[in-house]
Amino acid sequence: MLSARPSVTLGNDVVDLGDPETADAHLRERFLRRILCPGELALFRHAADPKARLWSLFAAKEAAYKAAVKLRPDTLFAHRAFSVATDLRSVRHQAWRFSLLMTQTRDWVHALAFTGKAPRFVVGVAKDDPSRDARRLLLDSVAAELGHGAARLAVARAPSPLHWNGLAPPRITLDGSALSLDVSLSHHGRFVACAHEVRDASGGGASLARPGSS
Amino acid sequence: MNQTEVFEQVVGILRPFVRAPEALEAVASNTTILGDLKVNSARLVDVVLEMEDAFGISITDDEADGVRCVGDAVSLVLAKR
Repeated sequence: MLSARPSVTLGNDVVDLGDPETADAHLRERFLRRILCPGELALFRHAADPKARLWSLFAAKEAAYKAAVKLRPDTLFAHRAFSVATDLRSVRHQAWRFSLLMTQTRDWVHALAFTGKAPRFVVGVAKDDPSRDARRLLLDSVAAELGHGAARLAVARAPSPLHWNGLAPPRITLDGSALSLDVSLSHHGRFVACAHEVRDASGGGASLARPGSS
Repeated sequence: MNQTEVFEQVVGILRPFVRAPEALEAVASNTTILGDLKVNSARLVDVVLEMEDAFGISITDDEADGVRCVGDAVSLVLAKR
């Protein structure tokens, strides 16, 4: 039985390391100083792969922002307002601390920021419409989680003047009724990703669809 | 530099980062940068840096967060010059 409120607040973000947008930012000092806090700059400078480290930190901040905006819709959208811990296991924003799970492959990096039990995330390959592909990935994963057919599920975003784009964060509906399961969507370049709260008895965790398997 | 000139220069700065070029054809003050033009958040950082260079101003994180549409960017430039 789903509770009235999500027990987890989460956000996720994927970055395609092969996308031209990510090609040289790690070489531009002003970009780095605009994005990273002083402690993160040190993490970046000591990384074996500075490019991947930059975008991992970036994704962590984006993921934490997506979570924070669910708690407070007018959260400041500024990367330096979100600080990643030196052990890379949490992100702090003001009084909030989000647990952090970062995954890095040769092709992409993914970050999952959350409160409570570890959510599940999936990364897949975009086909033609990345927004639609990310939603499909989410619906399939939630359908497997809840034991319902994916056709009964949908992703809905309610109008919200409080949010920067006029839309509340995405929610899942079952036969048209909103579920209290917290979810998050992301896409960039060749990849799409989703994350959702886990309600099964086995506890949280992550599943990963390697590129080409989604 | 008047409002029209700043508007045109801001649109020129945005142009390389826009992922919805069709939205640029009808760009107006109320065109949203992230929503309508589909500039992503990483490229928005580049836009801010290029605006600083182009107009010789410094833009804080709070000020950048307040820029939702093209008109907001124009107003910010005019207020800081």
